Amino acid sequence: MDLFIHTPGNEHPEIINIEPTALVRELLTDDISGGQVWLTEVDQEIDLALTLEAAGIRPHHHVHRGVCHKVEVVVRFNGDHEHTFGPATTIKSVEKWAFGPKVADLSREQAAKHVLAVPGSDHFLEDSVHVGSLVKPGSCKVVLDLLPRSRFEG
Amino acid sequence: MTSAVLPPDERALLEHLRGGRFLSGVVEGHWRLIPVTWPFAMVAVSAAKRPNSPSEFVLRFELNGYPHVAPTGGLWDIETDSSLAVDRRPKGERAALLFRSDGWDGGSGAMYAPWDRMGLKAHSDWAQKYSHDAWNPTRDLSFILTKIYEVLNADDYLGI
Repeated sequence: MDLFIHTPGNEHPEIINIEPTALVRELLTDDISGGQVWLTEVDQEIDLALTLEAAGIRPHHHVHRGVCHKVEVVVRFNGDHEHTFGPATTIKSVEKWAFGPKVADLSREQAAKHVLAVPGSDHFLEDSVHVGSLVKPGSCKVVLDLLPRSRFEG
Repeated sequence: MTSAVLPPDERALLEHLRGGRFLSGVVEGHWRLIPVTWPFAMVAVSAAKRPNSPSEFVLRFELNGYPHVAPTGGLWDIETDSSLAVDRRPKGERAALLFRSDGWDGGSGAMYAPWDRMGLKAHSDWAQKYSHDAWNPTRDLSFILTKIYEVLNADDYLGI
């Protein structure tokens, strides 16, 4: 079956083909020693000794692999705002917190005109990106800027 | 023609279309590929439900030089094999700006955006001014499709 697999250092998933009877630990690569695997938007890691099918992983599911069990997210918007998320949490979910009353307190109309971005990057983050994909080696912390979406004029 | 003799721009596109980013969008129902006839590729992008409006819009991209040269693309009517008529184009603040039909020089075959070759050509400052949205050779077609999908599924999209 085909799976979408998310990995630190790459915002977008790779597609891999693997047997449903393979073990979850086979999703880990050699450079992720001590790593774990999560289903997208699920904080609890999956037992590595289970088979994919026993773990409830189905074709075209999105899974995350990495070493950070939690990711400390700092959003910069009128000061620093911190919250901890599971690594397989999507940017769409991080935005719900960042745009909400505990951080920016944006109306629905205002929220639609804002985005998150990694400081110094050349793009805005897409909804489907896993926050655990943004960590750097040796760190489980991610800093994000909350920015207005561009309106093209000229 | 085998992949070994494909030109590099077409080869780069096909590689991106086989990648997880594009295929994830297909599986999620965000877009679907209509076969590539090089240098053109047509992709249907899903739109939010609105009364008396289609569930998707077809974009026809011209991709010569991809990804070193920015794609250009616009709304397409596959039944008539021509640019989509003005009265069948998506309405709404951002959709109307993206798919301008007011005589802009880019015409009906391009998007008014810094990820479109014609948009960049018409505005020499956009690559720097809107660097988060501007095309550069590290982008792929899914970058543009994600932008279009977002516009067609935003609250301010009003249908046709």
